Amino acid sequence: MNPDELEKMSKKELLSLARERKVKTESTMTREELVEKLRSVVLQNEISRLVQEKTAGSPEQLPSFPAQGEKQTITKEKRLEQGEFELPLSYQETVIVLLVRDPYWIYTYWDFHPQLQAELAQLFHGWEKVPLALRVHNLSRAKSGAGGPGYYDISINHAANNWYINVGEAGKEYQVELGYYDPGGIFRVLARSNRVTTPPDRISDLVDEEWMIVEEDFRRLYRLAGGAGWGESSVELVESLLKRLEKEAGSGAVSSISSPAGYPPPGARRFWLVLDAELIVYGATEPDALLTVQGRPVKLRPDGTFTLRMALPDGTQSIPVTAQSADGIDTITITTNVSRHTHQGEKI
Amino acid sequence: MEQGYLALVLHAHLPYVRHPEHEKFLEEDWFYEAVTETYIPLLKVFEKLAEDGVKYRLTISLTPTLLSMFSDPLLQNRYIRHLEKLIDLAEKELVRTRWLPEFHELARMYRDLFTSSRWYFVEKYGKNLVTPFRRLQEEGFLEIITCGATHAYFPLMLHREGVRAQIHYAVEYHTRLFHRPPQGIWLPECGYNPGDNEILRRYGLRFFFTDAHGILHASPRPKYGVFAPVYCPSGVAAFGRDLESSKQVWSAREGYPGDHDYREFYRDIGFDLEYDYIRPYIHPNGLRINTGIKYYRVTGPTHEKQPYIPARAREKAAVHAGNFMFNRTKQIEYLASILDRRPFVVSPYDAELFGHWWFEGPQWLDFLIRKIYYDQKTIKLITPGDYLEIYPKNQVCLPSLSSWGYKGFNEVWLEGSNDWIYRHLHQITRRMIELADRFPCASGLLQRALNQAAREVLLAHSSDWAFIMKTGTMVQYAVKRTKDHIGRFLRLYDEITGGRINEEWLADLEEKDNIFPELDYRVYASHHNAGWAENMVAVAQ
Repeated sequence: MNPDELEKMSKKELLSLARERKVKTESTMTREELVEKLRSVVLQNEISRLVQEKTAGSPEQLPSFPAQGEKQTITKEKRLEQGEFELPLSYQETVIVLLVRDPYWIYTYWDFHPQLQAELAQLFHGWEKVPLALRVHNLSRAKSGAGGPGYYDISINHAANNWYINVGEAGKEYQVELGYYDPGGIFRVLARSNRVTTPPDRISDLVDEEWMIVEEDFRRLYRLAGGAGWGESSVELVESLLKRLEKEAGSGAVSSISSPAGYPPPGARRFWLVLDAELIVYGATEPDALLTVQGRPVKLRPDGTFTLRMALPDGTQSIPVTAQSADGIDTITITTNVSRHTHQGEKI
Repeated sequence: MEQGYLALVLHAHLPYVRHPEHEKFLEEDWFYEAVTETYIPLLKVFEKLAEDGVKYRLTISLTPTLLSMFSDPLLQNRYIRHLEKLIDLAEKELVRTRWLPEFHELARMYRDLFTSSRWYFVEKYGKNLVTPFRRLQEEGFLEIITCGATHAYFPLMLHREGVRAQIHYAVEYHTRLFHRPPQGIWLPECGYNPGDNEILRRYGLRFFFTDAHGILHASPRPKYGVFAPVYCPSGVAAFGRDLESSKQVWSAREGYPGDHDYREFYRDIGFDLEYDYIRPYIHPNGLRINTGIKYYRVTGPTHEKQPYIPARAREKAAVHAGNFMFNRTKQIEYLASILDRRPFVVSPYDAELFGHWWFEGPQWLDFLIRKIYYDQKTIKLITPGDYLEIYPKNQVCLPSLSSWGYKGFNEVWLEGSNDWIYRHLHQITRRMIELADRFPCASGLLQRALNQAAREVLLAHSSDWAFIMKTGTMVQYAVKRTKDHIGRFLRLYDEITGGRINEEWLADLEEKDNIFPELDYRVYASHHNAGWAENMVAVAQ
C-alpha cells in the first residue's frame, strides 16, 4: 500500500491497520496523528516490497519511490490550492546534513536515494538487514594529533532518518558519514556531511598578550556580565507567559468582572462557582424623542426602541428614565428601583 | 563628563501574517494588538520626549516583515476596522459599568486610548507608521536598524546564499523605506553563526549584537568582556548583551513587569464577561479571545484580582525607572573604576514587552529617559553607532555561536517538535539557488514565478514557526504556514523546471504572499555579486 492511501482511511480503519502492523497507539490520538504515525511504517513495508519484487525478477523495473510531492502537485494544478500541503518524505537523494544544537550535541538528518536503498536491500536480503551506521569524526582531535581513532560509529535504526548525537566536547569540529558495513566488515561511506563546529562552553584560553587583562579582573567582569549562568532569556519570558496563557485559558475562563461573588481558592479542590448579575433596561418612545437614563442621553434605534445593559452591583439603584418630545413640549419620566443582595452560602 | 554609556535596544518584530483569503483571521490580531498596545504608545512617548526637548538616543530594530505589515493597505484598513470595533465595545463598557466607579474609569481610559489611537493612526500618519519612525530617525532620536528579511534563524541555515538573501532583501527594503541604508542589524533571535559577519560587511552593516556569552566566549579572550564591542576580523563590530540589566526587566520572577500594581495581562473581558454580551467582539466562530480591555492588576499570586488603579501603576513605573537608573549608575561607576575606558552597557529587549505584555512599559521607558537626561551625569544614552564614533579602535576577536534563546544556543529552534522542518528548508534553499543559477536573466511569466519562489523560501524560514512549535501554543498555524510555503515552493519549482507555469495560481500566490514586491530572485544565485553600495544608493534615491 502507498502512504498516500492512509489519507483516505477512516479513523477506525487506521486503528485496525495499526493493530495489524503492531504500531502502538493512544486513545487520544486524532486521525491526523494516526496517519503520521503509520506513515513511516507503511513506507518501510513499501520499500521492502519493492525490493523483494526486484529480487524476484524483472531487473529493469527499478522501484520508484512514492513521489508524493509531484503527485499532489499534478492533481492540484487544476484547482489552485485546497487543503494542506503534505511534504515529501524523501527528496530521493542520498545525503547527510549536520547541524549544531549546543556545545555538547549535534543533530543530523539523512535521506537515501530509492535506487541505492533498493540495491542495498538486495545485497543484504532485506532493507532492515542492512548494517547501517553513522561514523562521527572529531576533526579537531584528528588534527591535534591526539592518539586513538578520531571517530566512532553509531548503528542506526532503519526507520530513523535523523539523530541527536551527544559529542560531549565543546568547541570542536565534526563531520559525520552515513554508511554501512560490507560483508567483510569494512565501513562503506554512502554520504558525507558538511562540517560543523560546536561552540565553546567557556572563556577562551587564547589570550592576546597585548590586550591582556588580569585574570582576576576578567573573572569579575565575567561574573558581572552574568556569565555564571544565563537562562533568563527573553524567549524564556515569553514562553512562561505563553504557558500561563494556556493554563488560564483552560481553567479560569469563566469569571466575571463586576462584584465577583466567589472564586476558586488556590490549591483547593477544583470545584467552584461564580455568580454575577447584570441588568437590562429597555423601552420605547417616539423615534425623534430625546431620551435620558439617569440624566445621560441615550441614542434611540430608528424605531424608537432602546436597550441598556449594565453591571448590577449589590445595593439599590434608582434609574430615572426621561423622554422629551422633539418639540420640547412633553416630558415623561419613569423611575424604576432595583436592588440586589447576594448571599454567599458556605461550601458543603 | 559621563563615566559610561547605556544603549537601550528594542527589537520590534512580528512574522508576516496576512490572509486576504479570510475575512477575519485570528492570527492577524497579533499585529493589531501590537499596534495599539506597543507601537503607537512607544511612538507617542518618543515624540513627546522630543517635543519636551529631552535629548536621547535609542536603537530600534524594525524587521522587514513588520515594516511590510505597517505598509500594507489591506492590513492598514483591517486595523482600522479592528479599532472601530474596540471603540464600540469600550462605549458599551462605559454604559455597563456605570455603577462600578473603579471599572467605569478604566472603561473610559480604554475608550480614550482607542479613539486617540484611531486619530493617531488615521489622521496623523495616514495609516502608515513607518512615517513617524522615519521622522524620529531623521531628527536624530532613533537609530533604526534592520534584521533578517523574514527573521530566519541563521545558525541553522545550511546555505550561506540563504543568509545572504535574508540580509540583501532586508537592507534593500529598509533603505527603500528609510531613505538611508541601515548601520547595524539585529540578528534574528540574536542568533550568531561565526562567519556570517563577512556577509554583513558586504552589505555595509557596521555592527550586530550577540548574547553575553557570544562575546565572553570569543577568541581571543575579550579584554573588556561585554562592556565594549569587539571587531570581527571582517571589521564588523559585535556588541554583547548585558544580562544584569536584562534580568531586571525580563525576569518572570524578579522583573518589574510582575509588580502587583501593574495591569494583569490574563484578565481580559473577552474571557470574563457573559458570552452573549461579548460575542460580537470575540472570534466569529465563537472562540473567546483577548479583546485588550483588562480591568485588573497583578495583585499577587492569587485568583482574586483587585481592580487596576492607573495612577498607582504609573507611580510604580516611575519608581522602577528610578531603580533601573540607580542600578545602571552603580554598575557603570564600578566598571569605570576597573576598566581603562568608559564602559558600554547594552540592554536589548523585545519591543512588544513594552505595552503588550507590560502595559506600563512605555511609561517606564518615558520616565527612564527623562531621568537619565535630567537627574544624573554618570551615564549617557547612546547607540552602538555612536559608540564606534567615540571609540573607533577595538579589540579583534571571533565571537562564538550563540543566541538569546533558552540555554543560549540553537536548542529552542532545533528539538523534537520542530527539527523535521530543516530537511525541507535546506532542500528549498538549495533548489532556489539552483533555479537562480539556471535562469540568470528570466523575464515575463518565468521571472514572476522565480520571484514568487524566492518569496516562498523567505516566508518558510521565519524563526517564529519553529519557536511556536516548541512553545506549544498555536502550533497548528505554525505547522500550516511552514508546509504551505514549502509546498508552494516545491510546486513552483516543478512548474518552472517543467515549463508549465500555472498563471492563475501564480497570481493568487502573488496576492497572498505579497511580501517584498520589488524582490529580485537572482540574489539567490551562487555567484551573485551584489555591488550593494551602488544598489543601495540607487534605492535610497
